[in-house]
Amino acid sequence: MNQRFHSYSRRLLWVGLLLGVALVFWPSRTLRSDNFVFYLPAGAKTIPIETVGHGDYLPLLQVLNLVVHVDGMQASQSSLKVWFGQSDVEVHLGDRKVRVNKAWVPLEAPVRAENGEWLVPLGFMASALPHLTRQPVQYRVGARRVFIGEARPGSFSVRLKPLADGADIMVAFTETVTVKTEAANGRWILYLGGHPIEPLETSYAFQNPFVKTLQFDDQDGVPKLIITPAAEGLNFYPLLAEGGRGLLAEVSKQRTASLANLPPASLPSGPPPPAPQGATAEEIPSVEGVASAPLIILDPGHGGSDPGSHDKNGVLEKDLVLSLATRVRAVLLASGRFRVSLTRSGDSDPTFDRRDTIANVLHASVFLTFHAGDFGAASPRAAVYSFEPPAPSEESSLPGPAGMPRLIPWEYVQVFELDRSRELAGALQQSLAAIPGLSVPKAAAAPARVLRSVGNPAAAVEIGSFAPDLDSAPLSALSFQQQLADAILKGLDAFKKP
Amino acid sequence: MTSRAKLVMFVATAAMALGFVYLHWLGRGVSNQSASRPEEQARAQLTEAALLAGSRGTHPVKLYFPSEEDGNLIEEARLIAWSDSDADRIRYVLLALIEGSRAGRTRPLPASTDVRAVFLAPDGTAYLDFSNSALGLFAPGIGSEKLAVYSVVDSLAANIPAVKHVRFLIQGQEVETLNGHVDMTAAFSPDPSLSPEAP
Repeated sequence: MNQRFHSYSRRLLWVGLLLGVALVFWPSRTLRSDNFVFYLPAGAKTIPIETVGHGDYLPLLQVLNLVVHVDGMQASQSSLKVWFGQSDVEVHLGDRKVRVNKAWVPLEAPVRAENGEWLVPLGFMASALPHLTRQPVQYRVGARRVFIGEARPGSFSVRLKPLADGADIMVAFTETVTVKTEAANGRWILYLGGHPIEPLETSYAFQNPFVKTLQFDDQDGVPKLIITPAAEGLNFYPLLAEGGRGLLAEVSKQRTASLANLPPASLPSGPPPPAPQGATAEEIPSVEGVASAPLIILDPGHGGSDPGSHDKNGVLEKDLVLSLATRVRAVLLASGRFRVSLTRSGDSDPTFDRRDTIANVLHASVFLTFHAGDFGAASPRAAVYSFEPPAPSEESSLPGPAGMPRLIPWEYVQVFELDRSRELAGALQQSLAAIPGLSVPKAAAAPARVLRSVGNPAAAVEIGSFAPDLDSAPLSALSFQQQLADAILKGLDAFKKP
Repeated sequence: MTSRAKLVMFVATAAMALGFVYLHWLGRGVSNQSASRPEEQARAQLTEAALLAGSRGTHPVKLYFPSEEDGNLIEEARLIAWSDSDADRIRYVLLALIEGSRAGRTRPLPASTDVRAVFLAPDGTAYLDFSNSALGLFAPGIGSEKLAVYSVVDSLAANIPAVKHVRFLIQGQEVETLNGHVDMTAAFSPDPSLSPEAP
């Protein structure tokens, strides 16, 4: 009995060992994960992505079969050649390149062969696929979808407007779409048709008591938006507006307004409300100063886990600019002509949206952000910037149908204030340039992220030169910071007058 | 202990050791790439990419390098490797910018920058995917980040007519800013006003 037991246990141990070894090594070879979606003129097709080691791959033959008509192929243990029409593709095992029509095209990872399939990395879509088909190929690096054909994919932006007992979700599409709604597993699914969609972001998370996330998903070849509520028992009222270019969905405990009766013009046509991130009055910092005075929001850049840059002595940008903003606060309050609020007074790191939301919720007159930067050898120096969109013609707004109001993404509300912000930057530059020994070039424009979503005149003040190979002691000097603060007060006075 | 039991113990120990080695190897994959790499390696990439793509001789280009003192971009003429493919041309221009100015101007992209992928969309938007080793090594500040970005955008647009806009990605992902300042979430259009010496 005892001998049989030992015999069984030994066999069991061996089986366990073999299973353990297999489990250790098996996952490293091939794991199936998401699908890659091919948007073709005839419809969408999917191919499972093979994850090998640390890279994502697609089976070459399956890709070619979708895109071209394969005439023949020749395979050996180390290479594969496929030809179609007048073209051919040749891959060699382990090569970081693929030969397309006798020209070598580089790949970001080596060609592999697993389970009888030749695998190419996803970058193949960007580097080689455009050479294989005469049709236009549109592929965003890193994406898991490619668009082949004349139709340019559209995209969308999302905005959440918190309400007292719910939230409005506004989705602005760049192209006309159709929407079919369905509720499943406690989520709302909006199937998008009419035009292929390439999302700029696939997932939006909200800090809102009613809406948790909005996700784009097309893993089964059907593009859809999936809205996950943050609570149970909520109602969902979607409405397609602006001729299919806008989707307005109300999430509420009870139906508070009949969205179906709202005209399309009720979509925002001017600067949208300012608190998209669920900021509430309780979270907004306090305001100091005389009640009737214009409010200046002072934003010391960086903070918390984001130290910004540093000088050669280890002085951090976040500390330098907090010191400057605190001094400016004291000078503005002492003047009695301005109210002041700081986006951070300690070592915290509010997000860009949070900083901008504070200015918008408090209806600030002016938003000033403080940074330190590398100006080369020239020091001390200051520069003043107003905002400029990276590509003004395309990013400042989403066009609406003729005669209809335009949807303005809240992220770009600063575009309504560009003229006033330029005036502000000019006034600050002039007053700072009056400081003896301080070089201040003419105010310029820059796509500074923190200015982008401020719905008020806004400017960035950058002091320097501040870099890892420089000593920033002159910038930290109290006398220098006092001069800067006094000049900023004068600049704000000058800006306020007209 | 019998010899078979010893053998079992030995195999089990060996399997565990192999498992640890394997886990360690997996862990290496998720750790970030080294932040600093020698400049020679960046120059080696230039040669490697040229060999890979099969260049078609050299071509005169205009590169724009930041002048932080002046707050603008300075044009610099250069002969670089060239190709028939716009995507390869983009890569060559980027590698020349990574190599740096030969007139002592500021380097717009850190020497350790890897160009992971380049894609030119039919609408003229060039998608540039850089390694994360580039992040954190840019000259800090609003002005210097802006000059670094437009050094790339203007250099590409000036030499490759098909490039109308430029979109930056890091490790295949969109990033909010380069180093905490300039908005990188949208495509950039060229800004010729930054290079006053340009014709």
